[in-house]
Parts: sequence; C-alpha cells; structure tokens
Amino acid sequence: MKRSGKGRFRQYLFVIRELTGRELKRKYSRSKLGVVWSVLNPLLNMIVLSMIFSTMFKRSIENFPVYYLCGSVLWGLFTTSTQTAMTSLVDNKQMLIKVKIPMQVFVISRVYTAFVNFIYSLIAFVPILLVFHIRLNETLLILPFIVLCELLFAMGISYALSVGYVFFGDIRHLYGILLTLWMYLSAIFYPVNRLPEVMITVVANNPIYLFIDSMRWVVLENSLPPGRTVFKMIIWSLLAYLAGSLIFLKSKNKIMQKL
Amino acid sequence: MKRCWIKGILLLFTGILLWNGKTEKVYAEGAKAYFGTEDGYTWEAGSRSDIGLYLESTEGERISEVSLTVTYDPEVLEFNSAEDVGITVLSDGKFLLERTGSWEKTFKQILHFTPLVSTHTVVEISAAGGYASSGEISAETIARAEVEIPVKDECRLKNILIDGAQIKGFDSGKLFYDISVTGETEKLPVTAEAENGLETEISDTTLTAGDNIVYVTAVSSNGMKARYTLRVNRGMDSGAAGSGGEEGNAGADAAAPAAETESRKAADASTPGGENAGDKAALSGSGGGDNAGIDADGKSGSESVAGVGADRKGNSESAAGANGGEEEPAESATDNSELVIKKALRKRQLADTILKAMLILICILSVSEAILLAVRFRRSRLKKEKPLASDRLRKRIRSPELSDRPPIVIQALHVCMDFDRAVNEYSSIKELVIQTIKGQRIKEKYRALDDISFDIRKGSIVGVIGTNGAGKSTLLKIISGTLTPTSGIVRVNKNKVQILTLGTGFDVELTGRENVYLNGAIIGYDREFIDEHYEEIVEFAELSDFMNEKVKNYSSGMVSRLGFAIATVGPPPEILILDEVLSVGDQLFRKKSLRRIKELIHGGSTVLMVSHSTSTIKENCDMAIWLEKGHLIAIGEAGEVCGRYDKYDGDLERVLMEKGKEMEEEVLEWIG
Repeated sequence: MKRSGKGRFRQYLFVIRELTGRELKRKYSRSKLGVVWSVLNPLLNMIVLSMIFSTMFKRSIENFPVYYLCGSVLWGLFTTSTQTAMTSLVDNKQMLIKVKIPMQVFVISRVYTAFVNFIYSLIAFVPILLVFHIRLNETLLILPFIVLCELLFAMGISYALSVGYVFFGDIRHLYGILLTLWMYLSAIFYPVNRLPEVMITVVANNPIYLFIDSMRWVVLENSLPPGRTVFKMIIWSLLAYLAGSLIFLKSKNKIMQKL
Repeated sequence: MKRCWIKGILLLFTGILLWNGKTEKVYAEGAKAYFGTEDGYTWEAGSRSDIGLYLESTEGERISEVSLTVTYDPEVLEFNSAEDVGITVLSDGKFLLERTGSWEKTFKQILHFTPLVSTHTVVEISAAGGYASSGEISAETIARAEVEIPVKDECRLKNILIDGAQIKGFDSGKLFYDISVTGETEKLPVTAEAENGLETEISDTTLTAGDNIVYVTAVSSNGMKARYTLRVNRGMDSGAAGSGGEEGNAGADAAAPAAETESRKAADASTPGGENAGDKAALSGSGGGDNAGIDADGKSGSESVAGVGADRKGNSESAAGANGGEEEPAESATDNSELVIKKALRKRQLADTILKAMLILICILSVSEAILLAVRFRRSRLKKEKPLASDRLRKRIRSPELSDRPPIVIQALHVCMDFDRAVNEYSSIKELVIQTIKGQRIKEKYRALDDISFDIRKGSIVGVIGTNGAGKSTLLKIISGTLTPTSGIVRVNKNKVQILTLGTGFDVELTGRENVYLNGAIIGYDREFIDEHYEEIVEFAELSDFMNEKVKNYSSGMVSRLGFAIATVGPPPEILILDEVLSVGDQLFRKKSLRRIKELIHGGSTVLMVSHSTSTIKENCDMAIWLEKGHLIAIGEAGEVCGRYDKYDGDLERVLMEKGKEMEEEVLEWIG
C-alpha cells in the first residue's frame, strides 16, 4: 500500500493504539474489576505503607500518604514501562519477523500502555487530596512536563533493555534486582534527610528521585521544583533517550538475525 | 517539506527570543540563621560543650542546601565536630558548613566545642545561604552567640582593681565588664588580687580612643585558666566620657518595664553628671543594677539604645542567670538583618521558571524537528541515488535486447547474507562469560545466502522452493526489507511490498473482533479501512457467530481462516509475498483461498510465493527459484525447475556440479 510520510505516521499511531489496547485488555482480562485495579493498586499500597510508616516518619514528613503516593505512581510508571518493554521484542517475535513496521513501535506501545495505566492511577489522587485538604495551584501545569521527561527517560532505558533482552534472557532477572536497589534509592516512602551524607548525594542525582521530588514540590509545596532539579531531570532524560535509541538503531539488524 | 522548514525556523526564532529575553537571575532573600538554646546547653572549661546552629527560611519553606560560615575564637574554643557532617575548616577559628539534600523546614546542626579558658567569648555566623523552594535564600546576618564559660572555683580572682578601686559590680564568677574611662587615660591602671597559687596575667593595657579589650587571666596551679574580659571605652580627648555598650545582662534582676522607665529618667538626669566626671575614670559594671543603666544609657543619650536595652531585659529574663554564665539567645541580633521575601519577587521567579520550561520545550521541539528534517532530507537523497547505482550495474550485466519486456520490479544482485553463529550457542550472560573466558566463543560465519542474483519482472508469479533451511525465509525477509543483506544489492520498492502471513499478531486473550483490528493495524490497514471491510472479513472467514468469542476458544482452523481473511482483504499490492499461505485450513477453505489468491494475482500483482508443495507452484507460477543451503541451484520456467527439485535426493555437491557445467556450456555457447 502506498503511503505518504504523514499517512505512515498515522498508521504507526494506529498500531500503537491497537497494541496498547491489547496490552490493557490482556492485563485485566482475567480480573473482574479490570482497569479499576490501576486506581486501587496504588491506593491500597498507600494505605498499607501509611499504616506502617506514617508514625515512624511523623516528624519529617507531613503528609505521608501524599508523599508516598507521589513517589509510587511515578515509580510505577517507570518500572512497568521498562519491565514490560524489555520483553516486547521477544514477545512479538512472530510479528516482527513477518511484518514490516518499525520495531520501535512495539517498545513504544508498551511504554504507552504503562502511561495509560499511570493516568488511571492519577485518579487515586483525587480522594487523597480531598481527604488531606491539599490545594493545588498553577504550578501543577509543570506536571505534564515532569511526566514527559520521565517518559523519555523510561523510553531510553526500555530501548536499551529490549535490545539486551533479545541477546541475554538473564537481563530480566538482573534488572529485577537492580530495580529493588533503585527503588530504595528513590526515597519513595522515607525522608531523604534520614540517610547518611553519601547516600543523599546518590539519591539527589538519581533520575527517578528527581522526577518524584519535582512532583512533591508541586503537590506538597505548591511551588516549582528548584531549577537545578529541573535541569538535571532534562539532562538525564535526554541522555537516556538518545543513548537508548542509538543502541536500538545500531543493533537493529542483529536483532532480526537473532530472532 | 517547505512548511516543515518554516515551522522549524519559527520555533528556533521564538527560542532565541525567549532566551535573550530571560537572562537575569532572580534571587530571593529570606533566611534566618541563629543559635539555639532550647535544651539549655551548659558550658564547662575543659569538657565538650554543644551549641545548636539553625537556619530557616522566613517563609517557612523547606531548605534543600545550606552553606554557613562560622567563626569563633580559636584561643578560647577548640572545635571538635567531626568533618563528615559537611564541615570544611577554612582557617584557624573559621569553618564552612555545607550540606545538600535535606528538606527540612529548619536546618539544624549541633556544633561541639571544648572551651580551653573560662571566659566570655563569641561564636558567630558570618555568612549563611541556602536553597529553598523559591530559589536561593541568603541571610546576610551576623548571628552571634555570646558564650560565658563559668569560672572554675580554683581560678576565681579575689578582686580586680582599677586605680586601686574595685570595678563596679565585680563578682568573681562574672567574666565580662564594661568600663568607661576618660579620654586622658592612656594606660588602664588595672591590677588583680588573687589567692595564693593563682597567677595573674594582664594583657597590654594601652588604650586607644573607642573600645578596647583588656584581658585579666588567672592561671591556677593545675593549669586551668580563667580570662576576665574588660571592655574599656576610652572617651574623646574633649573630656566627655565614652559610653559603655550595654550588654543584655544588665537588668537581670530588674523587671523589664521598670528598667525602661528608670533608664529613661536616668538618661535625662545624668547628662550634666557626665561632664563633671571628666577627670576620674567613670566605671560602669554591667549587671550591677540601676547605676549601670544610668551610666550606660545616660551617656550615649539615645532613645533607641535605651529601647533595645529594655527589649533585651525582657528577653533575658528567663535566660540570664545570677552568674551570667549562660549563653544568650542571639535572635535579637538577627532581627535586623532578617529579610522578608517579597511576594512580587516570588511571582517573578515563578514566571521565570515557567518561561524557562517553555524555552526548554521549544528547544527540544526545534532540535527534534531539525533532526527529523535532516533524516528526511538524507532519505530523499538516498532514494534519488539508489536507482542510479543499480541502473549502472544493470547496464553492465544485462544485455540491452531484453529491454522491451516488462520492467524489472525485484532485482537481486550478488546477495549474500551471513549470520554470526557461536559454535556453542549461549542464551545467558553466565554462559557467555564462561565461554569468553575459556576462549570457546569462536564465532562462526554461517552463510544463509550465497551470491544470489535474479530479476523478477512485473506481473510474473514466482515460486521459491527448497528444503528446510535452504534460505527461503531469509530471502523473503531481505526482499521485504526486514533484513539488510551483508553484501549485494536488492533493488525493490519496499513500500509496495506486502507480505501475506497467517496468524501473526493473534492474541488468544482477545476476541476475534479485537484481533481483526489489531492484526489489520499491524498489516498496515488504517481504522477506516478495517471498519469498511469488517463484514467482508467475517463473511469470508465464516466466523460471524464467533467474533465476540476469545480467540483461545477457536480451533486452529478457525484461527488460520480468520488470518487469511484479514490478510487478503486489502487491495492487491504491487508485490505480494506469500509465505506458506496456501497450506491452511480444510479442503474447502483451501480452494476458496486459492481462488482469492488468484484474484489478487490477476489484479496485476507480482507474486512471490514460498511453498513446499511443488504441485502448487507448478499450477500457479510461471517461474521458480530453487534454493538449497544458500545456493541458487536453478531459476527458470516453473515446471522445469520443479521437475528437477522433485528428483533432488539431498546430494548438494552433485547438483552444484551440474549447475557449474550448465553455466560453462552457456558461456561457451555465448562466446562461440
């Protein structure tokens, strides 16, 4: 079929949408509540962790549930997108070999699925913000930008991981362990200043923490994140995206051979 | 294309404009640095004593980074805090405290000192700054903590005398005195009385105009020191006595309001008195009560000083003990330098940040636009060049007399495809590492296609045959563009190629209907097209009752029928590749699908089909390519090639020899 550049692009979007729809339907195909779980999951997790930690960190964290929720939704976006995108090429092996759409589409669709999930999980914020009487102001407008940065970052990592997974299946397990470590370094449910000095420096340069922290500035403090954080955030996400895409493009032919 | 350029340039321009418009930096000033007293630290000579250091934003914001410079008297205090809390010693008596990453509203750090001498001394924050949510904050304050280290009993002096008279308010436990002398006194006539075994030292007593500090130090036999400080104000030579700076301890035993009124009265009353007292040293001791207040405030004659003094009294009521041996809260000192953030400033900063974010976004957009343009430009150039290169090749290889036949749509020239294949296939990092270490990872080049050349002309129907692993799928992948050959050229318009495969992208958890859309999207149909042809697909697959059922409940025949229906519903493509399509379903459906394929073929497509069944090829194709282990064995009329393939017994050597002979004959014929 003949297509102009624009038409082809539209077609890719359509494919991504269809693939995403499939992922979502598949994810919840065996559960009764379906997509409601996207909202319930962070909410229930929040309740559990609040019960455990909120008294512990009472002095240093004011609104523990909100503090935690900010961390967990962004963390969830990152982990689900990278973890699912990692296996995307291998999972769709059959389609990749026989059909000629760019391979990126499969990775993107997984990240996009995670993003849709993330949007649902934002609904969890509504009751929480009401209960804790948290007001939001115009600084909320920067939130999409934060999420965009995180998506770029996740996309870069996903590209690299999906290529890696084609060649070594072990990456999945290694990455799982890495994620655990990463989670503890992202200050999702504890205050940063409780850490020793060295760790604070590490955490302050951890890209995921930067995203989480920026969101906390907006939601908890109603102010824009400090310029340095924003700058670091942009640098990280651009670097990750470029590096990931480069790896992906370089090894495109090898992937086809291996598959 | 043109519009893209304009858009890009516009974006860049806005970016540059914004960049130029916003270069100034806005600083917010609004921090408060002070020393704390909340736990009532006690100081003792010779043992470790603590003082709390605080920094907070005046707006109550969280502080992320702090940097504080603290100075102290190194002769009196020894600094003991470990350096790992972020302290850098700048010089003797001065250090820098830097911290990042703590997000508390009040920054707090306990500093540890060991006093060496019992005396009155000052610890000072000389610069303080940090980073809060609104941006940089700084307190250009000098917060002071006045510290008195209580005198040990063995170091107490009996008396301090000036000109033979005891200084006002002397108490052996009190270490700081304010004294005023007249302008004529050039040397302070000070002496000290001490008990036996207590040595006394008096520092240089030469006085200059204004404030002077004279130390009287008592050293006990066991090495303990106590330093009494005299702040001596030498008045102007005109004879007016200098004013004694009033210290906070002044009204320790006087009630604050009473002290205020009294000191004001005194100020009026003592103005003439001050003149009279010209020839004698007027002594004023702080903590001595009403008289001290009269001297101090009276001579300076200023209301504001009196006011401050009164304030102090209020503050120090609770803090100052009888001995005056406790530190002072220094908050009052910081009051002056506290800077409040102006709302306007914050708003401006907010606008600044938003602009910055927009600017960055625009930059990203324009950069990506530029990259996109560059890629497109390159691609369009490549497209223009490519046919030229292959045309040249074609001219060299092909003789001109054949040019009246239909145009070549697929041309393969010396196509080779190599796969790297490790001798020991690894599937985990562990294996890879072990094999690499042991030196077992010898890569072996596996040649899937070896020097394949052929032309396919428009409208022809070509069958590809060969045993398993002959390289048929690799060839199809190269033609369709999913693989790039290691060497050689394939000349084909990849956008016109459509591969027809079955069951790709079916998801068993989805319903038939959903799978139609998913599969269609992957094949390359857009939404409108699928909407339009949905009924047609269902009808052809004979599955109208099952479309809302999950595919996992389908039989394998149903799945392949649906797959075939989706794949063939589209308009006939120019080049159609059929990969084992004709061997699906039952007898009836196979016939039906064959009819469909024929329709497509007659629609003007060039068809390339792979099949194991030579009968299918013979029936449908007018040309066949026989591949065996990557070698092109034969190409030619379908019946003939298939006949040879049917006779093939697996002896590749013999077949290749035959081919060689054939070619030899051909060449000989051509020459001679």
